[in-house]
Amino acid sequence: MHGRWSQSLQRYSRNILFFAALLCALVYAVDPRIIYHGYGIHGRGLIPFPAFFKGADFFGSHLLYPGGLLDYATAFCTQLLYFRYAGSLLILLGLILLSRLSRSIAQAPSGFMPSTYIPALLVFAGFAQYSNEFTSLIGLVLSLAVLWLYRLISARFPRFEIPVFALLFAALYYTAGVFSLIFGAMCVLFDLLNNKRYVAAPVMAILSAALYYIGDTILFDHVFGDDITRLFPWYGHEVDYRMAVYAGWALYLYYPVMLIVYRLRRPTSFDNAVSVSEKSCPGAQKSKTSSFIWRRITLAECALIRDSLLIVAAVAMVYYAAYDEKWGSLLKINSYARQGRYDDLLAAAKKIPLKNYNTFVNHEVNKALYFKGELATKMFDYPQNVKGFVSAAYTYMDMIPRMDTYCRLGFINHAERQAFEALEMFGEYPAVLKYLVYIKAAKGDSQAARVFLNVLKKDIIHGKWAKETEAAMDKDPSLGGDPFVAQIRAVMNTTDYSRFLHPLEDRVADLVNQNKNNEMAYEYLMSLFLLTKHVDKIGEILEQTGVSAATPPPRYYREALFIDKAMKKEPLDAGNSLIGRDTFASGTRYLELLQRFGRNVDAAKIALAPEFGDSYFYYFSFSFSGAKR
Amino acid sequence: MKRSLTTIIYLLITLTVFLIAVIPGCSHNASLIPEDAIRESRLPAIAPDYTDIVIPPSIAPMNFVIREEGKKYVVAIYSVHGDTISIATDNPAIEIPIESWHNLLDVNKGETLSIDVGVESTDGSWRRFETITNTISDDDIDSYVMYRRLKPLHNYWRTMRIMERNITSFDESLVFGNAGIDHGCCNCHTTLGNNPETMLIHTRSSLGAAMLLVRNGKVAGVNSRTPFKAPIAYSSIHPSGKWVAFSVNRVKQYFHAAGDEVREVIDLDSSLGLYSVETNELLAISPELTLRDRLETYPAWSPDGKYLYYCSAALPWSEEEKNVADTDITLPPGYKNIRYDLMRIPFNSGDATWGTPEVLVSSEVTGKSITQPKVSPDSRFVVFSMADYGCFPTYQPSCDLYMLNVETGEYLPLPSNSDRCDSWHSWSTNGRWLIFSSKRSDGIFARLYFVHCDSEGKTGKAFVLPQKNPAMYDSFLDTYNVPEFSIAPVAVTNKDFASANAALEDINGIDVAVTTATPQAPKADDIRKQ
Repeated sequence: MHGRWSQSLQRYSRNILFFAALLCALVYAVDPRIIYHGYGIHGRGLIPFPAFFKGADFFGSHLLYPGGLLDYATAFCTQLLYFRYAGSLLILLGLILLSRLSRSIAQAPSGFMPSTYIPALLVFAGFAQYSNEFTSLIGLVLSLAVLWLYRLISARFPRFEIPVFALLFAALYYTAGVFSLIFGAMCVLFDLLNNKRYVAAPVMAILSAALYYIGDTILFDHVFGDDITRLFPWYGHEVDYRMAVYAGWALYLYYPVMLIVYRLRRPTSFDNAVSVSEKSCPGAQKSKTSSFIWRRITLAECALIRDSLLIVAAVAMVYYAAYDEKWGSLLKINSYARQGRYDDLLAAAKKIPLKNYNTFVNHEVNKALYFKGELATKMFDYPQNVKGFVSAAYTYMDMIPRMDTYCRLGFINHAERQAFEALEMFGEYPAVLKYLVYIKAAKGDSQAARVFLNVLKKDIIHGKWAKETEAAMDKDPSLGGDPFVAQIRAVMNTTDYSRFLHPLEDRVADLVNQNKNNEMAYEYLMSLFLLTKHVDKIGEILEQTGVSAATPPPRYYREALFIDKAMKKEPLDAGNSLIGRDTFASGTRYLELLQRFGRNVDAAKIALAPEFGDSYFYYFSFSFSGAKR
Repeated sequence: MKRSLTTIIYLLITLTVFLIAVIPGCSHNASLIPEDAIRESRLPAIAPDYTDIVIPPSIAPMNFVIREEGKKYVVAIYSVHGDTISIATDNPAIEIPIESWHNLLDVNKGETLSIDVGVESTDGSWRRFETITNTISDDDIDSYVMYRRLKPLHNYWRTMRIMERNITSFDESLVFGNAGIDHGCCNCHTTLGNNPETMLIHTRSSLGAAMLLVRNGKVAGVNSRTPFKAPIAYSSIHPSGKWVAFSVNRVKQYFHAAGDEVREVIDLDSSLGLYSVETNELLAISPELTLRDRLETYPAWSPDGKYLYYCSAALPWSEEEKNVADTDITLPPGYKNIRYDLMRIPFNSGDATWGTPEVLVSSEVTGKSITQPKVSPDSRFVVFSMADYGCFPTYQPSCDLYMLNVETGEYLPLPSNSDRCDSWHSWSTNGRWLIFSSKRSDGIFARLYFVHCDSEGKTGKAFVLPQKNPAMYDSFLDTYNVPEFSIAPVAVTNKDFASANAALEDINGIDVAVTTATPQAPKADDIRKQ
C-alpha cells in the first residue's frame, strides 16, 4: 500500500513541482496585480480594460455575438487579477487545464511528460510580460476541451463523425468565436496524422471554413475574417509585448509538431518515470557494501532530482526570458502607485536604470515623496525632469496618473478631462470610474456621480465601495464626509483659464494663492522653483509664509537659500537661522570643491557625485540629479 | 391509450402550474391592489418620469422603476377600451409586455392612459398612490430614430457609432460604426424628409474627409475637403434631392480650467456652400452666405425648398487673431461675445438662384446665440437652440429650445426645457413630434426626449426614450446626440458605408468663393452698398 502511494507520489511529483514552481513565479515574481493596474499606462498600448459587471444585462450583451461568452469569461477572470493569490491561482488553473488537455490530445501516457508542459510555459511567458493572456488561455482550453470531446464521441460513434464535428464547431464558434478555427485545424491535423482519414480531414477543413463564413456573414453580419486577427499573437499587443507574441506563435507551432512527434514516437521509458521506478540505480547494484544512503537512491529518484532541477530551471528561464526590464519596472511603479505602496515604489525606482527613468517614473516618484513628506528633502536623490513633474508626457497613455495628480493638486477640470479621455480609451476601468465619482461629487454634480456609482455597484471588486458611497451620498449628496472628496473640494481651482494660458509655475502658484492650505500645490510650487532654478522665489515664498528658526525649512529650501545668497554675493553667515549651520557648512565645502575643478565641469560632476549627488547644490550646478545612485 | 392521455393531461397541468409559479410576477390578471390599501395623496415616484405626458400611439412599452420602498409592487395599466395590463412583481422595475401594451394603445388613441401603482410595505401593509394619467395621442410618430451614440468625448475617441432605434420596440441596430474607417470620426448625418432612402453621413478619418451619400439604395463616397481648410460639415438636403446646402467650419476645441463644463467649441471661421448631387460639384452660392466678416453655419432647408435657414454671427477676431487661435490652444479673445442671428434666404429651385437674406431673430434682441434651426414639415414653425453665446450648444448648459412662429415672428421657449442643455432636435414627418437630446438628468450624458407638438405649435412635457430595462439610463455611460426621425430603417449596411468611404471621389469645380480661402469673398458692408 505504502509502495503504491510512493509510486503515485513519484509519478505525480514532477507535475506537482512544475505547477508549484509556476504558482510561486506567478505569486512572487509576476504578481497579477501589476497586470490589473497596468491598463492605461504609458507605452503599453491602447488596450481596453475588460470590465465585468454583475447582472443579466451584461451577460445578455455577451450572448449577441460569437465569442461573447469567451469575452465574458475573460472579463470575469481579469477582475481576479486584482488579488495576488486568487489571480495567481486562477492563471495556474488555466495552465493546468491547458497542460492536461495538451497531454490528452497528444495521447501521451500519464506521468511525467516534459513536452506537454510547453503550452503552459508559453502562456506563462505572456503573463510574465504582464500581458493579460486570459483570452488566449481560455480560448485554447475551450478548443482543446472540445477536441477531446469530439474524439471521445467520434470514437464511439464513428458514423456520426462529421455531424458531431459540425455541431461542436458551431457550439465553439458561438462560445469562443474565432478560436473554433483552432479546433477545426486540430481536428483536421489529428485525422490526417493519427487516423489517416484522407477524405474526412479535407471535408472537415471545408466545413470549418464554411461554418465560420456562414456564422460571420449571415448569422452575425460581421465583416468576414475580421475576427481572425484575434488569433494572431500580436492581437491586443503593442510592440512591447514581443515575448508574448513569440510565445503565441510558438504555441501554434507546438500542436502540429506535437501531433507529428507523438505519431512517430510513442512514449518510451524516458517519458514514463513509473516504468523505470522499479529499476535500481546502477551504483546501488554494483556493490552491496556501498553506503546506506546510496543504496536507497534508485534510478527513479535520480531522475526525480534531475527533473525537479530541470523544471525549476525551465520556469525560471521562461520568466527571465519573458521579463522586460523596462516595462516590468514601470508597471511595478504604476502598480505600487495605484495601491499607495510608496516605500515599495521608491525602492523600485532606485533600481531603474537612468535610460529607463522616464517622465512617468519621475511623476510617480515625486508624488510618492510628497506623500511620505520627503519631497523637499529627497527629490534630488532621484533623477528629475521638470516635464514629468506635474504632468507626465502629454500623451493619452498617462491619463490615469495625470488624472490623480491633477485631482489632488486642484486642477479639477483637467482631472475631469483626463478621466473622460481614459474612460473612452481604456473602457470602464474601475479606477477611472472612481475618480469620476470623486470629481463630480467634489464639483457638486451628485447626479452625475451617481451614474458612475451605479456602474461601479455592478463591479465584483468595487461594488461594495460603490454601495457604501451611494449610502453616504443618500445622506449627504455633497459627500462632504468623504475625506478625498473634501480634499479635492478644498483645493479645486476656481479660476478659469485655458490650459496653456500661463506657465505651469503660475498655474500652481494660482492654486496656492486660492488656498493657502493647499499643501501639495505649495510643495509642488517650491519644487518647481527648485527645478527651474528660481532660487530667489524660494526665499520670497518662505518669507511670505513666515518660516522661522523654530521651524526651519527643509533641506533643499535651505540649500536654495544658500545658493541665492551666494549668487547675489550677499554675506554668508553660519548663524543664518533659515539656512542653518549644517547647510552652511556643506554649501561652503561644495563651493570650495567646485572651484577646484574650474571649468572642468565633467570632472567636477563625477567627483562631486558621491558626496553631493543628492543635493540641490549638485542639481543647480549640473542640471542633473540622482547621481548618487 | 386512455391512461397515457390522462398522463399527458396531468403533465400539461403540472407544466402550466410550474410556469405560473416560476415566471415571477407576470400574472396578467386583475388581482391588483388590496381594497384596504392606504391611499397616498400623491403620485408614486417613478423613473423615468412618465407622468402627465402625451405619448405616441405606437411607442414601445414605457417601462419604469417604482422608486418607493416596498417588497411587492402591483401595477395596473388601463384606458377606456381593451384589457387592463396587470403586473404583480417583487421587482420595482416594471417591464410591460409589449404585445398587450400595443394592443391597449391601438384601441385607445386620443384617450387617457391610466396607471395605478400599489406597493406592499415591509410590514405587510399596502399603499395605493394617485393614478398616473397620460394621453395617448392620435398623431402617429415615425417608427425609427437615428442618432450618434458615443462616450462624452474630449480629444480622443475609440468608438463612435451612428445607431438606429425602432421606437415601437427596443431594437437598436448599427447604421455605421467607425471601426470601418480606421476608428475615425463619423458625425453629422441627415436624411431627406426623414426618409433614409436619401441620406448622408460625414466622416473624418485617416482615409480622408468624406461625405457618404445614399441614393437609390447605393452609397457614394465624396471627398468633402474644400478650399476652406475644412471639410463639409453641417448639411441639409434640398427637398428635390438635387442639392446639399452645407457649412464649412474651422472648428477648434478648448478646455476650461474651472466651471461645470470642461469643453468649449468655437468656429474660428465658417461659411456656407452648395453641392450639386447630380453633377458632383460645388456651385456658386449667394455672396451673402460667404461673407468674410461673418460666421455662417447650420443650414436647413424649408420643406418646400423655397428658403434656406441658417445662422450668422459677426466675426469677432481679425485674420491674425484667428490664425493665432488656430495654432494655439488658448481661448481666442471675445469668444463669449459671439452670438448668432437666425436668418433665411429665398432660393429659386428652378434656376438655383438666391434672393436677399433676412434676419428672423436677431441676437441683438435676444442677447443670446441661436443655432440649429429646424423647420417644421408645414414650414410654419422653426425650432432652434438658443444659448448664452457660441456655436456649439452641446457644451452650453444654458442652451434651450425655442419655437418660432414664422408667420408672426413670435418665438417662445419650449415648456419642456430644462436647466441643463437641451439641443439637437428634429421634427417627425407629420410635424406632431419633436425629438431632442437633453442633459437634464445629470449634466453629462445626453438622452433622447420626445415631446408632442400640436397644430398651433404648442408643446408639453417631454419624456425620455423608453428602454427595455427601465433602469438602464442610471448606469449608461454613452451619450446620444443628433437624433433624427426616420420613417424606415436604413437600407444600406455598415459595410456599404465603409466600402464607399474607402473609394472617395473628388468634388468637381470646388473653386468657388468661400471665406478666408478665397479673398474675392466680399464683406457684408460691400454687399449692402451694392
